[in-house]
Amino acid sequence: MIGKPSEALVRAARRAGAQPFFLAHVFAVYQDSNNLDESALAHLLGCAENNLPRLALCHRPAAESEAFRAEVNHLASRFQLDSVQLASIIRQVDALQALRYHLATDAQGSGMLRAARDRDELEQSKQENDDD
Amino acid sequence: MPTSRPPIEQITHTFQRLLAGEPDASADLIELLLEPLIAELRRSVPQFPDRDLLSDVVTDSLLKFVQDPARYNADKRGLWGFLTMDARGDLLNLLRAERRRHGREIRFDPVAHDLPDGNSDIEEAIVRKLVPAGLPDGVESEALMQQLRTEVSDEGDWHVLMLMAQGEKATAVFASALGILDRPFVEQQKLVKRAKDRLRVRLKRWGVEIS
Repeated sequence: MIGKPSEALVRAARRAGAQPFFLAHVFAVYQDSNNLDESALAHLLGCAENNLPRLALCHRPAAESEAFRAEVNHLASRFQLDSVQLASIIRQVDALQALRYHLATDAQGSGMLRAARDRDELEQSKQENDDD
Repeated sequence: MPTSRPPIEQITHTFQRLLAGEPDASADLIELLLEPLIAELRRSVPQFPDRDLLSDVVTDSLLKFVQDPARYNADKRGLWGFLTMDARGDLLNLLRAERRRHGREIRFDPVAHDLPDGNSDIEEAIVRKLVPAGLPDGVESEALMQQLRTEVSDEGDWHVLMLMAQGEKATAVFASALGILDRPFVEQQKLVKRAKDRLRVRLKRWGVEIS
């Protein structure tokens, strides 16, 4: 299927970008971090640009799943795209999101440690003042 | 833009692929149903003021559904009926929220699956519409609602009752609630009338007169 997607379908694919279930989410993150427009992404994947909204509305294959390779191949065959490139994009986005998550939780943890240290220092300072 | 419901066989086949976990089935089901659903909801919820917003709500409803297709129970109604009802419920919830936000008249949600138990505002509103002359002494709104819910246990009938209480007149809206939008319009009219008449008779015993 390479007919021009309807406006509603294109809009749906954009809205799906906010939902991790869909490949649209993977593409949104990847495009954002690599500064790619849709045409460049389609070129990278080796698929027709008209098929990008359809591909975006597919379920995102989970890299940790046993079915990952089969699902990627299924999509590659269906949309005539480069399966290696699709798998690579999914894995890169997974890695990027894991890193972001790690940094966010680390920063949160550091913030809590800092707050705890500040509180200890404050209490120590109060104690010293009381002793004086 | 395709504005009519696709053939049932095509919907069912794509849905089965979705249940089987085919990764492209979600895209196919969305492409198959999105525009007909938008067209259907534009017809059945004409009071919805913003066409683009309506499209977005219907889109979100479908995006939500493909992520959890197992919540559809084929024993209760057809998938098309289920999806139109689902999207319609989301639209009406949004309308209600907007009306509340603007401090306008609070209209209760006619889609019963979203009715929170024990919401006295909603119950009072329903009871006022159903029994304009007021409840007999000693009968509480909550008790009447409980009795009604027991009496009208079928979800489709309950939706119809809520729509009647709201003063809804459009056949398509009732047909959507009953999940029979796929039937010819004349048949929809007959089935809707039958459902309303049946409810009137059953509820009369509770002192509830619905026009």
